[in-house]
Amino acid sequence: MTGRVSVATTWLQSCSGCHIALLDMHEELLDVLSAIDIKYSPIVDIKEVPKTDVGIVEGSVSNQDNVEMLAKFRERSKTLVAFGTCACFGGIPGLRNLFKREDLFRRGYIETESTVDGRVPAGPEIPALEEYVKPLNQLVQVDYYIPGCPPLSSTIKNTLVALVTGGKPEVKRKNLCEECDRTKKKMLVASRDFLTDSVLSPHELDHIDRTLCFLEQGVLCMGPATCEGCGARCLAGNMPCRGCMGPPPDAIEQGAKSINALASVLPAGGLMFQEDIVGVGYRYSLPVSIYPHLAKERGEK
Amino acid sequence: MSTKVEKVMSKTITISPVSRLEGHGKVTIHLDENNKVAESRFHVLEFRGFEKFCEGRLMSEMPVITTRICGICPVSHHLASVKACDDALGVDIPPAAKKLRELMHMGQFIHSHALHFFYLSAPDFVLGPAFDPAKRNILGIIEADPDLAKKAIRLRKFGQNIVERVGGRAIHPVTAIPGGMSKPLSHEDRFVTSKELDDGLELARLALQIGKGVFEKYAEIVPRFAAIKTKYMGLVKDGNLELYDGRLRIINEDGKRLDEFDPKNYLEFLGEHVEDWSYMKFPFYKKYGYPEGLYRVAPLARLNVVEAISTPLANKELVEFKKLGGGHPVHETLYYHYARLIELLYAVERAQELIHDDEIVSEDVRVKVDRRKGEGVGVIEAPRGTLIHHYWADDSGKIERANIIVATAHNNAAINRSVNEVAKEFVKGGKIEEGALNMVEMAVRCYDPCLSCATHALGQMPLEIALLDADGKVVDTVERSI
Repeated sequence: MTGRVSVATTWLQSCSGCHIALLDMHEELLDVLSAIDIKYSPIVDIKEVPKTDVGIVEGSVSNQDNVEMLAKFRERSKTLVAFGTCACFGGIPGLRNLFKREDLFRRGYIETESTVDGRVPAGPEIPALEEYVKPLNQLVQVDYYIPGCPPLSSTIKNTLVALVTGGKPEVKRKNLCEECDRTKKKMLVASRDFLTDSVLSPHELDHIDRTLCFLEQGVLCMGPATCEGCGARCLAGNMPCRGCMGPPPDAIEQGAKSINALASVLPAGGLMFQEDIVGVGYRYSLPVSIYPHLAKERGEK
Repeated sequence: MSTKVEKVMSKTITISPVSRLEGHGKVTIHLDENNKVAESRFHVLEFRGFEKFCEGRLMSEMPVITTRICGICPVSHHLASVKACDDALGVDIPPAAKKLRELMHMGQFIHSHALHFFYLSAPDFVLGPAFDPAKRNILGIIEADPDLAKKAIRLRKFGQNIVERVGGRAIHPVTAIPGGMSKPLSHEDRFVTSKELDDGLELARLALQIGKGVFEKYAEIVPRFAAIKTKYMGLVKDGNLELYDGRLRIINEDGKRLDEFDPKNYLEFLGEHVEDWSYMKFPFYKKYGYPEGLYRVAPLARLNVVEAISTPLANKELVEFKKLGGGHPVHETLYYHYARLIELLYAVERAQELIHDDEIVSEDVRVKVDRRKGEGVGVIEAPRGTLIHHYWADDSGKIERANIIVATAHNNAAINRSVNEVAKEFVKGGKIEEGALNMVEMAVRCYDPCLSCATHALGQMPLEIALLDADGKVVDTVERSI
């Protein structure tokens, strides 16, 4: 078959979830496969990265193997796509940037309660860990981004269709509240008071209201600081947003934006003591944040 | 198409990447002075550090953080994690919540087992291990048998649909929270799921039928392929197969029960050994120490430790399966695939039972529970074996310490030994025989190792085989290339 767009896909440090989301196109995958030719992928046995029209990379960069694989993909793909939130912003594994490598290793291989006579693996067969987890664009030029943890299967399909037809994938710009159909009442009324007296986790509420904005229920929700495009599925599941789409493209960074948005609606003390601002605000985007302590450690201003 | 064999001055064989696995892996085969296989090592190449960076996070957030350990079995982490939270907070959840969680779990088993059989392993069996590597994959199956491919896609879809309807999202679900579930199941979703499961049951039976045909075809190589005799571990409930909540049973090579305990006490029975050459640790049964305490988990192990399965069709299959062992455990590694398909049938039957239970649409799905200081353990059977989450939280609800033993890790030592068996057969005179590459990979694939999970501690794996001599120098590396 001629005219099919050649595609290579890979995963770096990741959970494979984005590739599963690709398979979750289900029957539509068969249509997509008639338009693209998968030359290299974790589900295929070919072991050398070929030159292709499109390279799709899931995951963030965490070790030397990842660095080398990403360089190969950049060199051999005409168009490089950052696939999923880890590739775009670092993702949840990026939270390890809060800790030093020695401490991560010590916990994993020595201190863990089930470990017996532990030591840190450091043999020549296994790649050394990079100091920090990084998204793709901190190492190579990225042409398109598909955020999401994982991205919606429909978004993946639309992006592939755009690439096959020579179009440009759609970029979302608004925040998640645009997609969320929960009602806001108190928030729309000017007031000197916070919306609630305390900040709670959903399991601490007497009743989790399925239609009312989570912030008005006193639950930290990342919607105001998170890019739309996920279909607000967690909200439909009666759980608050945790920011997996990353920040909207025009926001400087997600954690600061969330604090900015929340400081005027939820009690600051509650946020400090009842919540984990770093672990929620920066859960998916710590490696692209300007979280001061980290920037200092990286030697940046 | 050729197999590239790099000659270097010594004796290790490397296969990298090992493909059609979930994650990154590499195999090295070490030779002795006489160029005979001495030892084989399966290296897991990534580490992510969850056990450290979860410190300081809210315990109640762990069920939606630890899902990111694995995108294939996020439900397992979601549920093991929430069970650990329930335990730490001392809360009993409503019966409907328990049923919903188990239903979500069955959805994941359907998706994950179907994924492994059809997408990752079937290419070896349906197309054959010697089939053109460029087409020996799910895409090749789509080309060779589009009707079968569509059925495979449909079965996996039904599983993912269940996870989405119960868990809010098919990948990385969110609805299991301390005290129960954040939302009930709608009547509409119940109805649609019920319809899909009727179809799903037929598809699961078809998968088993295809599988049995394959095992008959390969009957000659099954007994010797990567075969090892080991102990086995898995959850049981009254002697029955149990995937969501039960007691952990360990049996020896002859099928004799060595222990059966409340999984909360796992630290008394299980330890983890560390080797310098892999980021994946090596769990072992403490009474026997390492490496004598090697045991296996996942489908083959689960069917070996149980006496029966609670659903009729799967139980009938279990009886037939048990005959293979003749009163002893079934040790043949290739029968992992067989056991997996019986579990797939069980998952569909069990999901049907749950969906037909009127309580599944009950609105009473949670109790309110406040944060407090506490320690909790959550244990579940993930598709790839026993999964353990253990947390210590402070009085503000934040994690002080976390310990996680993932399913694939339990099989780590066994994978090494299985690979060694295959290597002994296919590595002759210091060289890898043609076809050995995929044979080694097939041995690894029996275990369906999920290396994303395995390396929750640092990350992933591709496969590469290196052949090393007695001095540890690389003699041979094997990679496939076009």
